[in-house]
Amino acid sequence: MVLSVKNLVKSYRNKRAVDGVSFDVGKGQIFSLLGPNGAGKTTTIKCVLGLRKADSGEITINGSYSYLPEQKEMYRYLTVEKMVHTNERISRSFDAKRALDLLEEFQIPLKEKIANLSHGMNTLAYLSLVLAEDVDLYLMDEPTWGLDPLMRNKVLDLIRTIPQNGKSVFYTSHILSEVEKIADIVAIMVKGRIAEMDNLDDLKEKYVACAVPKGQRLSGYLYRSTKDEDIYVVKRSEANGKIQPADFDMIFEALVKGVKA
Amino acid sequence: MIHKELADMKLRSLVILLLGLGLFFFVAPLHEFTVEMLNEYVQFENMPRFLERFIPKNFIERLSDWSFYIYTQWFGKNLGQFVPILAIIMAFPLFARETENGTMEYLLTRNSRKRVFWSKACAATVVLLVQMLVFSLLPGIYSWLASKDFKYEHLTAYTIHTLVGALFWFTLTMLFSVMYDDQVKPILTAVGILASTTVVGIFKPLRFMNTYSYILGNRIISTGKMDVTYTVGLLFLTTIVLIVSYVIFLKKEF
Repeated sequence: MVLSVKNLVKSYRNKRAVDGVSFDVGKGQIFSLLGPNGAGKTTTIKCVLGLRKADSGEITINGSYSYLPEQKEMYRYLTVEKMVHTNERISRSFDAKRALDLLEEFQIPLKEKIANLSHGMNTLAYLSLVLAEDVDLYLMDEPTWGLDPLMRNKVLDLIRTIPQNGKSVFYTSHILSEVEKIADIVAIMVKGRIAEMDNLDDLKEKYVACAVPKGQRLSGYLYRSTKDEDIYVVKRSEANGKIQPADFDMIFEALVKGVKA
Repeated sequence: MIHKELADMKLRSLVILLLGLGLFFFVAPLHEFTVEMLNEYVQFENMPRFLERFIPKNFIERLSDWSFYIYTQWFGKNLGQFVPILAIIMAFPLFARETENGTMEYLLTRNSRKRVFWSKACAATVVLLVQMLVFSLLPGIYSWLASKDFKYEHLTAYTIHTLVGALFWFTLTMLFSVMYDDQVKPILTAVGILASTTVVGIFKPLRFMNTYSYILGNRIISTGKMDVTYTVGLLFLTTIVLIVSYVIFLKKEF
């Protein structure tokens, strides 16, 4: 196990941002923490990194790690090239040549100041620094946010190759399509709790959509209501009425809405 | 890590160094001119009384002595009054800028908190002390180069007062830089404390609050000796503030 989190609790004043979260990230695994904005994903990742102090719980990281934050802030007065060299001095497991190769691949001008980079270019520059670290675990908070579709796919392909060397990825996102593309394990986080966690295929297998006459209740998550029927996303064992396969979008939306019958 | 900190401080340090050097070469070569000008003033028959009070004749006579002039006009006036300000300027962005710009996360996920804190604190302290040492030794170097009759025996005392005063205000401002998430609050708080302690120090029982009196070397001028008690007191406070800053930094959330 590269990362183990047990019963993590973190509150801000009276608001409980993370409420008893537990999960494990195995070696060579891509673990995705999925959830809507404000679900507690960033707080979880920051607690893992020690940037925020957990109220309770146990966090164990076995090995080295590298982190891509949600706000990809670097030293704005430096050029991209100087940022790479600064990172080389600060970080122990950093391969500057690998970073420069990635920057070239992402078409980031090395002589440009960080302050002048577009949002997407800034994300790619930060990502180059992170991916050039030779570590056991890559923690990424919304790694593709603000990227164009071409670059997003390129980045996802790169992330997909990380486990080939026995390294692991823990990343948070609210974009379902990319999670479906690369994640081995998906945890859906809603209101500070993990509502569901499983292998992606098993998760899709676990749930089905059931349409029942309006007013009839099922033990599951109310997904949508039409004039005549209610559509629930329920566990296969609880299925009733007109049963259809539930895609990942449906499962996610139903869990996030959290309207449990 | 230290290399980055030094690079961060490069411009600020150079500007301060150049300003300090400029200020010194505005004061030192004007010795004779200043004395002549003041002598002309006191020879006026109808010289205002307040001027007589502020610039007594015996003071002007003593000013013609190079050592007295440079100690009072450099340490006791021009450099002395800027020492806390320069220390505040060096310290206020140290942690607050990283927090404000979001780059603290970048540092803390690559280095331990302990390393980040001490790298920043030590690099900036060394730069500040070198600056203050250069400024403090300037009268000695200038006197030697210009073949001036200079009493070197007081230079150590003035240098220690300058260094310790600068270190105290630097550490205090660094505490606010650690505490606050933006750069404005540390500088405002430090300047506010500097102003209020100076004002409060006007009252006799609270005279000890006025660090300016120590930094300007009033005791050295009157007794010829360093103020050991105040020096030890400030160093003790500096150590306490430094430890508190470190503990806050270890516990702070980013």
